Amino acid sequence: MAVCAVCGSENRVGARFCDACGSSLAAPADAHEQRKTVTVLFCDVVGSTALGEAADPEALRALLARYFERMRAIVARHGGTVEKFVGDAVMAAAGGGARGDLLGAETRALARDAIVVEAVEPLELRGKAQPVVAFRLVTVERDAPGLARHLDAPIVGRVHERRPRLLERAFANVVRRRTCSLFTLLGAAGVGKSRLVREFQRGLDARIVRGRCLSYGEGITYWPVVEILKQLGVDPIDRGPVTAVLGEYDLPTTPEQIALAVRRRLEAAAAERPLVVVFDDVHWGEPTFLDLIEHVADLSRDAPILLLCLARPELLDRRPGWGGGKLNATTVLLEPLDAVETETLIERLLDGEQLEPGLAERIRLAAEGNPLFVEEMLAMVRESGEREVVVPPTIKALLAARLDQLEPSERWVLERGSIEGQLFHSASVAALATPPAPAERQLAALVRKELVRPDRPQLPAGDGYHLEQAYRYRAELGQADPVLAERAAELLAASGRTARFRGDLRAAAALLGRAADLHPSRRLALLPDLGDLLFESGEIAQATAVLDEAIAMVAGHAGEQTASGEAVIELAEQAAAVLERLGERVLLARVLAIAARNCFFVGHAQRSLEELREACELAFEVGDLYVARDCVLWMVGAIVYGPTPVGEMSRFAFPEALRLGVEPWGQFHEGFVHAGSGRFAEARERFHRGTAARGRARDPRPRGGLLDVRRRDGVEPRRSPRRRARAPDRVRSARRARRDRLPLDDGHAPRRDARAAGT
Amino acid sequence: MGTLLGETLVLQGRDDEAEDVLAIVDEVVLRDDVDPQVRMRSVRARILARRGELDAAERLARDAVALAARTDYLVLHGNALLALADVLRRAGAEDGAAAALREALALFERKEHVPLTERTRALLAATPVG
Repeated sequence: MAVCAVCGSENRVGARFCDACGSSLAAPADAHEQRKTVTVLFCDVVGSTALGEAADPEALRALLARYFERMRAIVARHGGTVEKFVGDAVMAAAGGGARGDLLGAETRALARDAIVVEAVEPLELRGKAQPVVAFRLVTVERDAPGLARHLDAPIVGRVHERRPRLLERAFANVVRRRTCSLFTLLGAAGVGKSRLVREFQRGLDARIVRGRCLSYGEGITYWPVVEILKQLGVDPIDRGPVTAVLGEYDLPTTPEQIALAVRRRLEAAAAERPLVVVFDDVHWGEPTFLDLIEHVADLSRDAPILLLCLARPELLDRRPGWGGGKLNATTVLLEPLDAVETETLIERLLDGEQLEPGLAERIRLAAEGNPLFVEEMLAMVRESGEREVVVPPTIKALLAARLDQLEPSERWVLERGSIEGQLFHSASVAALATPPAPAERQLAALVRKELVRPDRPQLPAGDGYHLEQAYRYRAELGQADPVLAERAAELLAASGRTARFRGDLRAAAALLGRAADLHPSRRLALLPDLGDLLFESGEIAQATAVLDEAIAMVAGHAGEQTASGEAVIELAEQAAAVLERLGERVLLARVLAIAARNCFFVGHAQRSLEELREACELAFEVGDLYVARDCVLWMVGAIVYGPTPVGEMSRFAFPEALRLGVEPWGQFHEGFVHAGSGRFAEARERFHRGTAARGRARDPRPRGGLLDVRRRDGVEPRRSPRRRARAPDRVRSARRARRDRLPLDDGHAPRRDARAAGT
Repeated sequence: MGTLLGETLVLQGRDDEAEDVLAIVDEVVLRDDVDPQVRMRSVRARILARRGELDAAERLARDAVALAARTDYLVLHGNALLALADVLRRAGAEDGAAAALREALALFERKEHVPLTERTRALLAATPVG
C-alpha cells in the first residue's frame, strides 16, 4: 500500500499517483535515508464508541469527515503532515516543535519558557525498557518563545565589544541625518546576536519595536510586520492595507500597497521619535517580507529609522544580494568566540564555582566558541552532575533545524564529510560518492552557512574542512553507513602510509589513528602500524598502549599473547605460501617483510637479506612504497651484520634507494663499507651526510624528484601491463625471475622455493 | 643503542655507568633480539672480570659466544669472542684467550673487516701462548 506524502491518503499497491490529491507517489529521485527529529502527534475522538452507537451512520461519517478535514488543516498550519487516519484516530508528524497533551522531558526542555506543565506518572511504553518521564501540558503562552534566551549572561570578547559601537554609530548616523538605514547582523544560532542587540538597546533614546519571522505555519509572510504594527498601533480610522495585514478588514491589496503603507506607518512613528525596528530570524523571512524591508530601506526619507535585521548566514543563500548596492546598508558577520574569550565566558558564568578538573576545557572544546552552547552545556552539567559533556536537547534541536534546511546535496556532503570526522577533506567527500563527484559547490555553501569552515588539510589532495560541532552533527545526521565508513578508513590509512613514506610521522600517526577509530573491523589491521609509527615518533607511552590493545585483540581471537621470533617466522612463511597461491601480492610483500625482520632479530642475516629483497621488489611492484623503503633500511642492517664481506658490500648500490627516499641509509651503508675497510675519514663523512639527509627526509615538505613517487598514495598498485596480466599461479616463477635480476648471491634459494611449493 | 653505549663505556673503563645503561636495556630488550642479548652478556662479562668475579664472567662470556655462534652475524660473533678472550686473559687462561682470538680473527677475515682484523692480530701477537 502506498501512502501519499502530500495528503496522507492510502492508495492501491502499484499506484503511481494519489487517488485523493493526484500527487506523484514516486519517491524523489535524490531520496536517501536521513535522520530527522520529528514530533509525532497521535489523537482520537473522546467517547467515539458511544458516539458511534448513538449517531446515525451517515451523520457520523459526515462528522468524522469534517473532523479529519479540520485536523489536516491544523496540522498543515503547524508545518506537519498527516501520516494516516486509523478509525477515528489521526497520526501526524512535524519536523519542528511539539503540541500535545503529554510531553516528554526533551520536548518540555525545548519549550520550557512557553508552557506550563504538570508531572504525571512515568509511562510504560512499548519499546522502552524503563518508564518514560512525562508531563501534562496545562497551558501554552501563545507569543512566548519556546526557549527564552538568557540575555543577562556576561558579554565577552573583543569582537562582541566592538560590534555595539558599530551599531551605535549606525544609529547615530540615522538620527543625525534623519534617514533610514538597514543594518544586518549575521551569525549562527547562539553566537550572540540577540545578546548584542540587547546591549545596544540599553539606554538608547529611541522607540524600539520587534518582530520575528516564523519558520513554518499559515500566514507567516507578514507575521513580523503584524507584530511591529501592533506595537506601533494603527490609526482607528485607517481602512487601508495596514488593517488588511492585521486581518481587521478583508480588503484586496497588493504587496506593493502593503509595503507602502507599512513604510508610511514607520515614517510616521519615526517622526515623533527615532525608531529602531528589530526583525529577528530574518533568514526565515518570505521573499515578499524581504522585499518589504528593502522597500522601506530604499524609499524611506526624512525619518530616522534603523532597520536592524538579525539572521543566520543562510539568509545570503536565499537572498544573495541582500543589502547589496545600498549606501545605507551594513552587514556584519558575528564570529564565534576564540578560545580565550570562551574561557573567560565560562569563568564568568561559573562565578567562582569550581568544576571538576578538565570539564571546563571539554565544554570549551565542545562549544567551539558558541556562547549559547557554553551556557546550555554548563547548565546541563550543573543540573545533571554528569562528568561528561552531553548535548542539551536545546542545542540538538537547533542543529537539527539547521540541518533540515539544507539542500539535499549539501546535506549529503555534510554526511560524507562527517564520516571522516571533525577534520575532513574535499577529496574524501568526492571519493565517497558513487561515482566519485566533486563537492566544491556544496562545501562553499556549507562554509557560508557556517556549518563547516576551511581548515589545514592533512591529506595531500583536496582542501581540508573543519566540521563545526562535529560529534553533535554525527548524532543528528544518523549512523554512518558502515560501507562508506570503511572506505573512508581506507582513504585515511592510505594517506597515512603516504605521509609515513614522506617522513611526516606525526601526520601519519594522526591519519592512521583516525582510520583505526573510524571502522572497528579495520582497527586490528591498523594498530600494529600505528604502534610502530608512534614508537618511531618517540611517543613510547602511546605506542605501548596501542600495541597492548592490538595484542589484547589478537589474544581475544587466538588465545595467546606473544610469540617467539622463530614462531613468527614460521607463521609468516605459512601465510606467505597461502598468499602466494591466492595472488594477494600486497599482503604477501608485508608478510615477507615481517618474516625478514624477524629473521634479522633472531640472527639469520643472510636469510633476512633474501626475504627483504624479495619483499622490497614485490612491495615496489604493488606500490606499497613504505614497505619497500622499510625493506631497504633493514637490508642495510642485514648486509652490515651478516656474512657479506666488506669488499662485496659496495656491490649493493641500492639503485632504488634514492627513488624510495632512503638516501640517508645509502650513505650509512657506504659509511659502513669505508669503516670496515679502515677508511675512517671517508666513513665519518658518509655518516655525516647520512645524518644530514635524514634530517631533510623528516621535512614534510615535498621535494622535487620525489614528488611523483610521493603523490601516489599506496592504494593503486604500481604494475606494468605485463605484470598486471600475470595469473596468480605464475607468481612463483615471477618471483624467481625477480630474484635472478638482483645482484645478490642466492645461497638460500631452495628454502624459498620449498615454501612457494607449500612444502 | 643501549648495548653499544654500554660497550663504549666499558672500553673507556666507566663500568658503573655501563651497568646503569645495561639495567635500562635489560628492561626493554626482547628475548629473541639476539644482538643486544649477546652484547649485554659480553659487556657484563668484561665488567665482572675487572671486578675479579672471573667464574661468573667466563660463564657469561661463553654464553654470549654460544648465542652469537647460532647466528651468521660475523662481527657480533667475533666481538663476543674478543670479550671472552679478555675475560680468559684476566683469569690467566692465556691459551684459551689465544684460541678465542684466533677464532675471532677468522671471522673478521671472512668479513674482510680491516680494522677488526688488524686489532685482533695485534691482540693475538700480545697474547703469550703456552
